[in-house]
Amino acid sequence: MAFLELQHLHKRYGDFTAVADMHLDITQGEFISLLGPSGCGKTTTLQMIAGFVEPSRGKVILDGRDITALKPNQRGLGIVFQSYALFPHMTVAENISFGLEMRKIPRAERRRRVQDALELVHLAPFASRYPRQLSGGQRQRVALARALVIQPPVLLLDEPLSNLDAKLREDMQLELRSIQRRLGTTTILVTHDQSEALSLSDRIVVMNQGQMIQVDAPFQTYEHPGDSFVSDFLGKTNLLDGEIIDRQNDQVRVRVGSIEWDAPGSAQLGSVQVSLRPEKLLLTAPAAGRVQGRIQTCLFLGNHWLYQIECPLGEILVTRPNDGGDSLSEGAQIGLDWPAPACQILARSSADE
Amino acid sequence: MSETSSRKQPYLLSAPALILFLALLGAPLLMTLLLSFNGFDFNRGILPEYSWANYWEVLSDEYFHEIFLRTFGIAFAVTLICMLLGAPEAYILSRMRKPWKSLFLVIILGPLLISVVVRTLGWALLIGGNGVISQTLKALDLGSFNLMFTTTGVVIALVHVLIPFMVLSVWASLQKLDPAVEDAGISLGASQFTVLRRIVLPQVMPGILSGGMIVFALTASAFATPSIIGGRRLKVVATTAYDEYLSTLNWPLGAAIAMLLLLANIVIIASYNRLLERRYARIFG
Repeated sequence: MAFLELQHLHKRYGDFTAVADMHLDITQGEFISLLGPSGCGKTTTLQMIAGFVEPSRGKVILDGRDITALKPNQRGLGIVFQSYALFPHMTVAENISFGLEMRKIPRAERRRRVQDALELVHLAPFASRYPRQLSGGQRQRVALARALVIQPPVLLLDEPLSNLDAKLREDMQLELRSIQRRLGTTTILVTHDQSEALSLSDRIVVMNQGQMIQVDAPFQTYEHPGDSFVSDFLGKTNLLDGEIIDRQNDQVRVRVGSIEWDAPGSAQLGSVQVSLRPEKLLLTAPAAGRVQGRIQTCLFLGNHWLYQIECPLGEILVTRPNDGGDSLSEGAQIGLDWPAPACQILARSSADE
Repeated sequence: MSETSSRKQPYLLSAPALILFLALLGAPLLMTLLLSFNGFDFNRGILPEYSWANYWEVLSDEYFHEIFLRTFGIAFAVTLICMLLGAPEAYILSRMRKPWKSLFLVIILGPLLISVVVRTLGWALLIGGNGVISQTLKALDLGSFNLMFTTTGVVIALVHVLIPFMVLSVWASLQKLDPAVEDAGISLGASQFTVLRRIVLPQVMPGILSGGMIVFALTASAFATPSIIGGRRLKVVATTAYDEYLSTLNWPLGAAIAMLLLLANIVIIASYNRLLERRYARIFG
């Protein structure tokens, strides 16, 4: 049974529709990411759950109770803000204790729970510091502890890691995931960072222009994107304009430019988009492979190489793990190949029309 | 460029301003200080002798005690009222929507654009014995009303003159407030009032206190408003010094009064500032 239900949420500002028909059932303990480019309605959705924005239509049901009309201070949800929004005039311990004070928890229990929360986020030695004496990552963890200490039924995270540098962000992702697993708090994360959504969530909700495009587990969403928008937004991909010229059973014949090949799928005849993920393409000796091409640019990215290949399909990106061997040189002639399932036939994104 | 000349450069660049400052503020102040030690005789004028007599006269005379107490009493009251009115005013202003915000900001800052004398005379027309309020009350048979030459009148007029400084000061610290901080408080279960009291107020406190410092200093040395509304009957230190200079022609005594006011102001403001810094350095940096 769903723990948190978003029932046909709409939000309109004048003529502008920020969120259209958001309908989602979230089970207890689930980690859901709302993923999309800026202005896609993900933050508005979060604000409607939190109660800071009133939906134009639709309901928010928490544990069987309609909370749509409830004020944000009556909902009891934990929120981590993008700017962390720590109280600068209070120490770390006072920040964390604030929500408990509002709940009239007795002093002794308050102290114990603050201590537990501090230990949960590994900040026990910093209890009496002020926020400005902490690093970005530490502030982030104070914000998390402050939101979690009130034992909220749902934790809302508004781009919580976007202000951290790349290395710290990865550490925090791991930590966030393990804390969430341990406490089992139902969590909704708003992010525009696809790697964050992929690594943290049980399910990803991909949004664009106020619409839910796809709701699926991260691996499913990545491997079987619903349309070209999802495919392009999640990870890197080569999106090619093509055409289905024949179909039989589970097999279709695709044509892109002058090249034709067979791919699994059941798309209708006519114009489509074809997605080839860079990491699934193989570089072969010249004259082997499906397409012939020439390496135009070669970038070394540490754990892998990124090649830009000029070929009849257009400019194609190919990545190859860095296995310690030599790279191919720019200008070299090569062949391009891929296993049949790597080619995905996608409906055009409604946004492109 | 050599190292010495680059070290001298800041001084050279600020020299014109520094010279102007010394000539126009430092010199007259020094001359006033010297003057305050001179003797005075009604027949012979300023005497070329130096003593503490003038200071002794001010410090030992009940008449001057009363004036000093009144001055700082008024300054304290005006500061307190400006804090109580100005801080909420600034907060409400910061919460207003687009066109109204700038409109009301102009209205609040408007008094700064009008001469103090003109503004104070306006108050005199309003609150005087034959003023608008008094005449209205008389017409309604509710008795008469006069705030001219009263402490209340002076305080009201000074609050009006000085409240823009408080609003501006609080406004500046409100600009530094992260709006999400209030949402965070609410999400943790606090009511709007609790958020104001426990989260907004402590963060704008430095703004309120430094605004208070400006208002206090300006009130304690205010001249135009107390002299128009308070007149000769309700003297403050600044008007007393003025009278010594221009009515009694006892310049040395006037100078001593002025120096004592300056000294009192410096002591009060410096100790207040130290208190502030000690309290907030750790939190706000």
